[in-house]
Amino acid sequence: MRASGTAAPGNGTERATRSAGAGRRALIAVLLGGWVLLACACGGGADRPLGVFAAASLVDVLEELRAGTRAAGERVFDLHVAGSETLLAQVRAGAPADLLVVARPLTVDERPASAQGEPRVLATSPLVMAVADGDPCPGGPEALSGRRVAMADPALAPAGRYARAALQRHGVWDALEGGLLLGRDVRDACSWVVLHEADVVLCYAADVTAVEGLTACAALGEEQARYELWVVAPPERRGAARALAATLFTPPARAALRAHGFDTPW
Amino acid sequence: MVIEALLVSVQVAALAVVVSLPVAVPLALCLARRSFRGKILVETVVALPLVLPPVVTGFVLLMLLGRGTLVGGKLTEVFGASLLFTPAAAVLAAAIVAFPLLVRTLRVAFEGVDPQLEEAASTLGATTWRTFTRVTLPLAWHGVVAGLVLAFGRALGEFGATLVVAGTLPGGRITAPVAVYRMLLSGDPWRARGLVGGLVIVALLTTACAELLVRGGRSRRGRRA
Repeated sequence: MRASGTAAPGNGTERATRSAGAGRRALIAVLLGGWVLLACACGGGADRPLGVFAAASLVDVLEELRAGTRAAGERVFDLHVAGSETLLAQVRAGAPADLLVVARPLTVDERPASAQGEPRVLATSPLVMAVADGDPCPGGPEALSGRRVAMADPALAPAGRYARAALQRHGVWDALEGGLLLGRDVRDACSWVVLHEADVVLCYAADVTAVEGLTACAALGEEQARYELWVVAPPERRGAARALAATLFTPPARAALRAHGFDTPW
Repeated sequence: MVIEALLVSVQVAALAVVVSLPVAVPLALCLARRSFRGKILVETVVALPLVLPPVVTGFVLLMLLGRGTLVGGKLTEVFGASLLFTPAAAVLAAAIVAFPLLVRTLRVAFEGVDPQLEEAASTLGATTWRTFTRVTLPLAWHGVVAGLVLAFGRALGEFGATLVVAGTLPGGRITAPVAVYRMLLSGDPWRARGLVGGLVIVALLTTACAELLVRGGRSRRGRRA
């Protein structure tokens, strides 16, 4: 019963009926198959690799360490990177994180319910002013007025909050606030300086090491990123998570962190 | 890395379209053929993911699927683990953002079919299903293909919601847009050029296939006429 043709009589009609039946079964199989696959994709939580949820600026060094564990034939961990605030929301909602590394200290209220014990500081990185290679450095925060200054948005990233605190401490925040270029994260802001869309970026020293084309100028003072590592694994995975955390505090891990511009206070 | 991320994206997008179809087709038919109280509300809700920033959709999904919520808690009980950061979460995120495009295109395609032809089929004794598969679907085929391709393309490029609920899948697999994001975060954003090129090629091939299918359908109908 095609709209654009007539059914053939006799055997033709039977064939058409059989073909319609087969087509219908195939269509139903595809549609049901999709849902079955989706249901299968929901499971498998128990034996999934350990999950490391880490602040975006650690992406390079943790990718390197992950590649190292793969090459050594050890158990590889899954790495998820995002802004610290996003990570916190994800872990609180039950994302399968076993280790959490955020770029700032957490208050008691902010700690995920699954967090065990006290955190260890994996790395630190001071907040600095940086310019594109070959550009002149500003003499200090007071010399920033009149320049296009980029930094992370204080509402979205700890780097932005540190930068705002530093500028407020130096008494230049009010003068600069209206003309600041605010990035979703600190690496966004760095890229604007490299592309000469901004003159100066307030970022971590580790970002200067990571991003090609940036030169570090003076530090902004006491503000620094403090990457705290929390064990947030469920009880049955806690032992393995602690073992993985221990591997991040070994000499090879320290060498990798330092090579990427981080300080290691351990 | 490039091939793996592209494969993950293609698989997720294809599955997102397949799981959307059983809901999208009846809904589009209903919206195309029936008038009912609350139709505007249904249309608005269906269009919502099109208007909302994907990251907001991701946040809503995060709140829905999280262990502490009613839905997420039940699902965690059933599957023994949280759905977050599983392939299912990636498929759901992609399906939700692609759903409005699929429904809208299907609806327009079904509206283009003369209802009198469907009524004639019913008068001749065809069941609703048979009328749909033998009359409505063949006549609306090019629109249906366009809807599938649009939905696949949207699902393929999904990033915001995916990053929130399925940023990394088991085994460290990530979708192509998330991989591009990671490469941009790294010190050498030029690493992303291979993947960006791959995504462009997949998008071009998808669009070209759809165009060929639609033209083929048109020329067949033209010959029959």
